[in-house]
Amino acid sequence: MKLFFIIAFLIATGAALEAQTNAPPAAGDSLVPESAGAATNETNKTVIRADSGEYQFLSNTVVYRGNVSVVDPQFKLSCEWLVARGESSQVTNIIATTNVVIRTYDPKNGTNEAIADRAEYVFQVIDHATNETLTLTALPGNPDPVMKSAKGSESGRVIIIHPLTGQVEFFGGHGEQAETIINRDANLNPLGKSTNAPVPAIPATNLPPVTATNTDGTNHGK
Amino acid sequence: MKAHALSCGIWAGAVWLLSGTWIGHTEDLRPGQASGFSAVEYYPDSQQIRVRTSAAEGTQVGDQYVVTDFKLEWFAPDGKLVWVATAPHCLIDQITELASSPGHLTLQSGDGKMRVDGDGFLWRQKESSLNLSNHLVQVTYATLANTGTAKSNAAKVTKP
Repeated sequence: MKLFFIIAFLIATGAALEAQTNAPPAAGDSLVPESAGAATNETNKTVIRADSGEYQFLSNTVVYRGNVSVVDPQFKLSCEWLVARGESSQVTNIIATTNVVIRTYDPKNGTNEAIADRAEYVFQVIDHATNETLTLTALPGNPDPVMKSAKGSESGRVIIIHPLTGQVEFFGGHGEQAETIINRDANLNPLGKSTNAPVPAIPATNLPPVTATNTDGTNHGK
Repeated sequence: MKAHALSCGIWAGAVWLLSGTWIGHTEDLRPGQASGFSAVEYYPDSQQIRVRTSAAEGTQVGDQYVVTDFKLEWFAPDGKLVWVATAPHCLIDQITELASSPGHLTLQSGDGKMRVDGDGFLWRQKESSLNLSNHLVQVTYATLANTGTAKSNAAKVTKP
Protein backbone atom coordinates (compact mmCIF):
# COMPACT_ATOMS: atom_id res chain seq x y z
CA MET A 1 0.00 0.00 0.00
CA LYS A 2 1.42 3.29 -1.00
CA LEU A 3 -0.18 5.61 1.43
CA PHE A 4 2.23 8.36 0.67
CA PHE A 5 0.31 8.83 -2.54
CA ILE A 6 -1.54 11.40 -0.61
CA ILE A 7 1.52 13.56 -0.80
CA ALA A 8 1.41 13.69 -4.56
CA PHE A 9 -2.17 14.79 -4.44
CA LEU A 10 -1.54 17.49 -1.96
CA ILE A 11 1.57 18.76 -3.68
CA ALA A 12 -0.39 18.92 -6.86
CA THR A 13 -3.02 20.89 -5.08
CA GLY A 14 -0.45 23.26 -3.79
CA ALA A 15 0.97 23.74 -7.25
CA ALA A 16 -2.31 25.02 -8.47
CA LEU A 17 -2.83 27.39 -5.63
CA GLU A 18 0.53 28.65 -4.66
CA ALA A 19 1.19 30.96 -7.56
CA GLN A 20 -1.62 33.26 -6.73
CA THR A 21 -0.26 36.32 -5.05
CA ASN A 22 -1.34 37.85 -1.79
CA ALA A 23 0.00 39.45 1.34
CA PRO A 24 1.53 37.47 4.18
CA PRO A 25 -0.91 36.27 6.79
CA ALA A 26 -1.03 37.66 10.25
CA ALA A 27 1.25 36.23 12.89
CA GLY A 28 -0.35 33.20 14.40
CA ASP A 29 -2.63 32.80 11.46
CA SER A 30 -3.75 29.22 11.47
CA LEU A 31 -3.42 29.05 7.72
CA VAL A 32 0.32 29.12 7.97
CA PRO A 33 1.63 25.58 7.84
CA GLU A 34 3.13 24.35 11.05
CA SER A 35 6.50 24.01 9.47
CA ALA A 36 6.62 27.52 8.08
CA GLY A 37 10.08 28.83 8.73
CA ALA A 38 11.64 25.42 8.78
CA ALA A 39 14.00 24.29 6.11
CA THR A 40 12.61 21.95 3.51
CA ASN A 41 14.53 18.73 3.04
CA GLU A 42 14.00 15.32 1.58
CA THR A 43 12.61 13.92 4.75
CA ASN A 44 9.61 16.14 5.06
CA LYS A 45 6.79 14.33 6.66
CA THR A 46 3.10 14.28 6.01
CA VAL A 47 0.79 13.55 8.90
CA ILE A 48 -2.72 12.28 8.35
CA ARG A 49 -5.16 12.12 11.21
CA ALA A 50 -8.67 10.75 11.24
CA ASP A 51 -11.21 9.39 13.62
CA SER A 52 -10.95 6.03 11.90
CA GLY A 53 -9.69 4.41 8.77
CA GLU A 54 -9.66 1.29 6.70
CA TYR A 55 -6.78 -0.17 4.76
CA GLN A 56 -8.08 -2.42 2.01
CA PHE A 57 -5.05 -4.27 0.81
CA LEU A 58 -6.61 -6.26 -2.00
CA SER A 59 -7.88 -3.18 -3.78
CA ASN A 60 -5.03 -0.88 -2.76
CA THR A 61 -7.49 1.48 -1.18
CA VAL A 62 -7.36 3.50 1.99
CA VAL A 63 -10.38 5.20 3.50
CA TYR A 64 -10.10 7.86 6.18
CA ARG A 65 -13.26 8.80 8.05
CA GLY A 66 -14.17 11.63 10.39
CA ASN A 67 -12.25 14.82 11.03
CA VAL A 68 -9.68 13.97 8.41
CA SER A 69 -6.71 16.28 8.37
CA VAL A 70 -3.55 16.18 6.32
CA VAL A 71 -0.66 18.36 7.36
CA ASP A 72 2.33 18.76 5.12
CA PRO A 73 5.08 21.39 5.10
CA GLN A 74 3.48 22.95 2.05
CA PHE A 75 -0.21 22.48 2.57
CA LYS A 76 -3.05 21.48 4.79
CA LEU A 77 -6.19 19.62 3.88
CA SER A 78 -9.24 18.90 5.95
CA CYS A 79 -12.42 17.04 5.14
CA GLU A 80 -14.74 14.49 6.62
CA TRP A 81 -14.01 11.60 4.33
CA LEU A 82 -11.08 10.79 2.10
CA VAL A 83 -10.39 7.74 0.00
CA ALA A 84 -7.25 7.02 -1.99
CA ARG A 85 -6.80 4.30 -4.56
CA GLY A 86 -3.66 3.25 -6.30
CA GLU A 87 -2.09 0.85 -8.70
CA SER A 88 1.41 -0.41 -8.25
CA SER A 89 3.34 2.56 -6.89
CA GLN A 90 1.11 5.29 -8.26
CA VAL A 91 -2.01 6.84 -6.83
CA THR A 92 -4.72 6.94 -9.44
CA ASN A 93 -7.66 8.45 -7.66
CA ILE A 94 -8.27 10.42 -4.49
CA ILE A 95 -11.64 11.72 -3.41
CA ALA A 96 -12.16 14.05 -0.49
CA THR A 97 -15.69 14.94 0.47
CA THR A 98 -17.63 17.11 2.89
CA ASN A 99 -16.23 20.41 4.05
CA VAL A 100 -13.12 20.10 1.96
CA VAL A 101 -10.62 22.84 2.67
CA ILE A 102 -7.20 22.91 1.06
CA ARG A 103 -4.72 25.53 2.19
CA THR A 104 -1.30 26.30 0.87
CA TYR A 105 1.25 28.88 1.80
CA ASP A 106 4.50 30.28 0.55
CA PRO A 107 6.25 33.52 1.42
CA LYS A 108 5.90 34.97 -2.05
CA ASN A 109 2.26 34.29 -2.57
CA GLY A 110 1.00 33.95 0.96
CA THR A 111 -1.93 31.84 1.93
CA ASN A 112 -4.33 30.39 -0.55
CA GLU A 113 -7.43 28.42 0.12
CA ALA A 114 -9.75 26.19 -1.84
CA ILE A 115 -13.14 25.24 -0.46
CA ALA A 116 -15.47 22.66 -1.94
CA ASP A 117 -17.87 19.89 -1.07
CA ARG A 118 -15.87 17.47 -3.09
CA ALA A 119 -12.36 17.30 -4.48
CA GLU A 120 -11.30 14.53 -6.79
CA TYR A 121 -7.78 13.89 -7.97
CA VAL A 122 -7.29 11.68 -11.01
CA PHE A 123 -4.00 10.41 -12.40
CA GLN A 124 -3.90 8.96 -15.88
CA VAL A 125 -1.29 7.82 -18.34
CA ILE A 126 -2.30 8.56 -21.91
CA ASP A 127 0.05 7.77 -24.77
CA HIS A 128 2.95 7.37 -22.34
CA ALA A 129 2.32 10.80 -20.87
CA THR A 130 0.94 11.53 -17.44
CA ASN A 131 -2.08 13.67 -16.87
CA GLU A 132 -3.36 14.86 -13.52
CA THR A 133 -6.48 16.77 -12.66
CA LEU A 134 -8.00 18.00 -9.46
CA THR A 135 -11.69 18.76 -9.77
CA LEU A 136 -13.57 20.78 -7.18
CA THR A 137 -17.35 20.55 -7.09
CA ALA A 138 -20.25 21.29 -4.79
CA LEU A 139 -23.38 19.39 -3.92
CA PRO A 140 -26.61 20.65 -5.49
CA GLY A 141 -27.92 23.60 -3.54
CA ASN A 142 -24.62 24.25 -1.81
CA PRO A 143 -22.31 27.17 -2.56
CA ASP A 144 -19.98 26.75 -5.50
CA PRO A 145 -16.40 25.72 -4.87
CA VAL A 146 -14.15 28.70 -4.44
CA MET A 147 -10.45 29.49 -4.56
CA LYS A 148 -9.36 32.38 -2.38
CA SER A 149 -6.23 34.45 -2.32
CA ALA A 150 -5.27 37.96 -1.32
CA LYS A 151 -6.10 39.11 -4.81
CA GLY A 152 -9.63 37.92 -4.40
CA SER A 153 -11.71 34.86 -4.88
CA GLU A 154 -12.82 32.86 -7.85
CA SER A 155 -15.64 30.40 -8.01
CA GLY A 156 -17.50 28.27 -10.48
CA ARG A 157 -19.78 25.30 -10.49
CA VAL A 158 -16.77 23.23 -11.36
CA ILE A 159 -13.11 24.12 -10.92
CA ILE A 160 -10.56 21.93 -12.64
CA ILE A 161 -6.92 22.28 -11.71
CA HIS A 162 -4.16 20.84 -13.86
CA PRO A 163 -1.27 20.46 -11.44
CA LEU A 164 1.34 19.67 -14.06
CA THR A 165 0.75 22.85 -16.00
CA GLY A 166 -0.67 25.08 -13.33
CA GLN A 167 -3.72 25.76 -15.43
CA VAL A 168 -6.98 26.30 -13.59
CA GLU A 169 -10.32 26.20 -15.34
CA PHE A 170 -13.53 27.66 -13.97
CA PHE A 171 -16.85 26.44 -15.30
CA GLY A 172 -20.14 28.19 -14.59
CA GLY A 173 -23.41 26.42 -14.16
CA HIS A 174 -26.30 26.35 -16.54
CA GLY A 175 -26.18 29.76 -18.14
CA GLU A 176 -24.08 31.04 -15.28
CA GLN A 177 -20.75 32.80 -15.32
CA ALA A 178 -17.81 31.90 -13.21
CA GLU A 179 -17.33 34.63 -10.63
CA THR A 180 -14.16 36.51 -9.87
CA ILE A 181 -13.78 39.01 -7.04
CA ILE A 182 -10.55 40.97 -6.89
CA ASN A 183 -9.52 42.74 -3.72
CA ARG A 184 -8.16 46.25 -4.21
CA ASP A 185 -6.38 46.23 -0.87
CA ALA A 186 -3.08 44.52 -1.49
CA ASN A 187 -2.61 44.03 2.22
CA LEU A 188 -5.81 42.15 2.64
CA ASN A 189 -5.27 38.50 3.26
CA PRO A 190 -7.80 35.81 2.46
CA LEU A 191 -9.27 36.10 5.91
CA GLY A 192 -10.03 39.73 5.26
CA LYS A 193 -7.65 40.94 7.94
CA SER A 194 -5.11 43.59 7.17
CA THR A 195 -1.68 42.60 8.31
CA ASN A 196 1.91 43.68 8.35
CA ALA A 197 3.22 40.48 9.81
CA PRO A 198 6.65 39.33 8.66
CA VAL A 199 6.80 36.65 6.07
CA PRO A 200 7.73 33.29 7.55
CA ALA A 201 10.69 31.75 5.80
CA ILE A 202 9.24 28.78 4.04
CA PRO A 203 10.93 27.81 0.80
CA ALA A 204 8.98 28.29 -2.38
CA THR A 205 8.50 25.29 -4.59
CA ASN A 206 9.79 24.99 -8.09
CA LEU A 207 6.44 24.07 -9.49
CA PRO A 208 5.15 26.06 -12.45
CA PRO A 209 3.13 29.21 -11.89
CA VAL A 210 -0.61 29.16 -12.06
CA THR A 211 -2.49 30.69 -14.89
CA ALA A 212 -6.21 30.67 -14.40
CA THR A 213 -8.22 30.39 -17.55
CA ASN A 214 -11.94 30.53 -17.91
CA THR A 215 -13.72 28.29 -20.34
CA ASP A 216 -14.10 31.20 -22.73
CA GLY A 217 -10.36 31.80 -22.67
CA THR A 218 -10.55 34.74 -20.29
CA ASN A 219 -7.68 34.87 -17.85
CA HIS A 220 -8.34 35.00 -14.16
CA GLY A 221 -6.14 35.64 -11.25
CA LYS A 222 -3.21 37.14 -13.10
CA MET B 1 2.47 -4.06 -0.95
CA LYS B 2 1.69 -7.47 -2.17
CA ALA B 3 -1.94 -7.78 -1.34
CA HIS B 4 -1.97 -11.44 -2.09
CA ALA B 5 0.77 -12.05 0.37
CA LEU B 6 -1.07 -10.12 2.98
CA SER B 7 -4.32 -11.86 2.24
CA CYS B 8 -3.06 -15.36 2.32
CA GLY B 9 -0.40 -14.96 4.86
CA ILE B 10 -1.92 -13.60 7.96
CA TRP B 11 -4.67 -16.06 8.44
CA ALA B 12 -2.72 -19.05 7.40
CA GLY B 13 -0.16 -18.02 9.92
CA ALA B 14 -2.68 -17.37 12.61
CA VAL B 15 -4.54 -20.61 12.14
CA TRP B 16 -1.30 -22.46 11.92
CA LEU B 17 -0.18 -20.79 15.06
CA LEU B 18 -3.33 -21.62 16.92
CA SER B 19 -3.61 -25.16 15.71
CA GLY B 20 -0.54 -26.04 17.66
CA THR B 21 1.62 -26.72 14.63
CA TRP B 22 4.21 -24.27 15.73
CA ILE B 23 7.38 -23.63 13.90
CA GLY B 24 10.49 -22.57 15.68
CA HIS B 25 10.72 -22.19 19.41
CA THR B 26 7.53 -23.37 21.00
CA GLU B 27 6.76 -24.25 24.54
CA ASP B 28 3.43 -25.86 25.29
CA LEU B 29 2.23 -24.89 28.71
CA ARG B 30 -1.06 -26.75 28.88
CA PRO B 31 -3.88 -27.56 26.47
CA GLY B 32 -5.05 -24.39 24.84
CA GLN B 33 -2.03 -22.39 25.82
CA ALA B 34 1.37 -21.93 24.24
CA SER B 35 4.22 -19.45 24.30
CA GLY B 36 7.06 -18.31 22.15
CA PHE B 37 5.62 -19.40 18.86
CA SER B 38 5.77 -18.30 15.28
CA ALA B 39 4.41 -19.48 11.97
CA VAL B 40 5.55 -18.79 8.47
CA GLU B 41 4.11 -19.00 5.01
CA TYR B 42 6.24 -19.20 1.90
CA TYR B 43 5.88 -17.93 -1.60
CA PRO B 44 4.78 -20.70 -3.94
CA ASP B 45 7.63 -22.84 -5.17
CA SER B 46 10.07 -20.83 -3.11
CA GLN B 47 11.91 -20.91 0.16
CA GLN B 48 11.25 -17.22 0.63
CA ILE B 49 9.04 -16.34 3.58
CA ARG B 50 5.97 -14.40 2.61
CA VAL B 51 4.33 -13.91 5.99
CA ARG B 52 5.59 -14.55 9.45
CA THR B 53 3.14 -14.57 12.32
CA SER B 54 4.38 -14.56 15.85
CA ALA B 55 3.23 -13.94 19.37
CA ALA B 56 4.59 -14.27 22.84
CA GLU B 57 1.71 -16.24 24.28
CA GLY B 58 -1.66 -17.57 23.24
CA THR B 59 -4.60 -18.71 25.33
CA GLN B 60 -7.73 -20.41 24.07
CA VAL B 61 -11.00 -18.88 25.17
CA GLY B 62 -13.84 -20.85 23.65
CA ASP B 63 -13.50 -20.68 19.90
CA GLN B 64 -11.22 -17.71 20.17
CA TYR B 65 -7.64 -17.21 21.12
CA VAL B 66 -6.08 -14.37 23.00
CA VAL B 67 -2.50 -13.70 22.05
CA THR B 68 0.03 -11.22 23.34
CA ASP B 69 2.78 -9.33 21.55
CA PHE B 70 1.18 -10.16 18.27
CA LYS B 71 3.27 -9.46 15.20
CA LEU B 72 2.65 -9.90 11.51
CA GLU B 73 5.43 -9.40 9.03
CA TRP B 74 5.07 -9.34 5.28
CA PHE B 75 8.04 -9.86 3.01
CA ALA B 76 8.64 -9.16 -0.64
CA PRO B 77 9.79 -11.96 -2.94
CA ASP B 78 13.33 -10.65 -2.62
CA GLY B 79 13.18 -11.03 1.13
CA LYS B 80 12.80 -7.38 2.03
CA LEU B 81 10.43 -6.57 4.85
CA VAL B 82 7.42 -4.77 3.39
CA TRP B 83 5.12 -4.25 6.33
CA VAL B 84 5.00 -5.16 9.96
CA ALA B 85 1.97 -4.87 12.19
CA THR B 86 2.24 -5.19 15.93
CA ALA B 87 -0.26 -5.21 18.74
CA PRO B 88 0.24 -5.94 22.41
CA HIS B 89 -2.96 -7.95 22.52
CA CYS B 90 -5.16 -9.54 19.92
CA LEU B 91 -8.23 -11.76 19.85
CA ILE B 92 -8.36 -14.23 16.99
CA ASP B 93 -11.49 -16.03 15.93
CA GLN B 94 -10.82 -19.00 13.70
CA ILE B 95 -14.42 -19.45 12.63
CA THR B 96 -15.12 -15.92 11.50
CA GLU B 97 -11.53 -15.33 10.48
CA LEU B 98 -11.37 -12.08 12.34
CA ALA B 99 -8.65 -10.65 14.49
CA SER B 100 -9.44 -7.73 16.72
CA SER B 101 -8.49 -5.78 19.77
CA PRO B 102 -9.60 -2.64 21.55
CA GLY B 103 -5.95 -1.88 22.11
CA HIS B 104 -3.25 -0.23 20.13
CA LEU B 105 -1.96 -1.31 16.74
CA THR B 106 1.04 -0.09 14.85
CA LEU B 107 1.55 -0.65 11.15
CA GLN B 108 4.94 0.26 9.78
CA SER B 109 6.47 -0.03 6.35
CA GLY B 110 9.67 -1.95 6.00
CA ASP B 111 11.58 1.02 4.65
CA GLY B 112 10.57 3.09 7.65
CA LYS B 113 8.91 5.75 5.55
CA MET B 114 5.45 5.21 6.90
CA ARG B 115 3.92 4.47 10.25
CA VAL B 116 0.29 4.14 11.21
CA ASP B 117 -0.99 4.10 14.76
CA GLY B 118 -4.50 3.56 15.96
CA ASP B 119 -6.53 2.34 18.88
CA GLY B 120 -8.89 -0.52 18.31
CA PHE B 121 -8.58 -2.60 15.20
CA LEU B 122 -10.33 -5.27 13.25
CA TRP B 123 -8.61 -7.42 10.68
CA ARG B 124 -10.84 -9.20 8.21
CA GLN B 125 -8.94 -12.01 6.67
CA LYS B 126 -11.37 -12.74 3.86
CA GLU B 127 -11.34 -9.16 2.66
CA SER B 128 -7.75 -8.43 3.63
CA SER B 129 -9.04 -5.33 5.29
CA LEU B 130 -7.68 -3.62 8.36
CA ASN B 131 -9.94 -1.23 10.24
CA LEU B 132 -8.56 1.20 12.76
CA SER B 133 -11.40 2.43 14.92
CA ASN B 134 -9.98 5.39 16.77
CA HIS B 135 -7.24 7.97 16.78
CA LEU B 136 -5.72 7.09 13.46
CA VAL B 137 -2.41 8.83 12.90
CA GLN B 138 -0.38 8.16 9.79
CA VAL B 139 3.05 9.68 9.39
CA THR B 140 4.75 9.43 6.03
CA TYR B 141 8.28 10.48 5.34
CA ALA B 142 8.87 10.95 1.65
CA THR B 143 10.84 12.87 -0.88
CA LEU B 144 8.95 15.83 -2.17
CA ALA B 145 8.44 14.96 -5.76
CA ASN B 146 8.52 17.61 -8.41
CA THR B 147 5.51 16.77 -10.45
CA GLY B 148 6.16 19.70 -12.71
CA THR B 149 8.88 17.88 -14.60
CA ALA B 150 6.60 15.23 -15.97
CA LYS B 151 5.33 15.30 -19.48
CA SER B 152 1.75 16.34 -19.55
CA ASN B 153 -1.29 15.78 -21.67
CA ALA B 154 -3.11 18.58 -19.95
CA ALA B 155 -5.00 21.12 -21.93
CA LYS B 156 -3.28 24.15 -23.36
CA VAL B 157 -1.49 26.48 -21.02
CA THR B 158 -2.37 30.11 -21.20
CA LYS B 159 0.71 32.21 -20.78
CA PRO B 160 0.42 35.14 -18.42
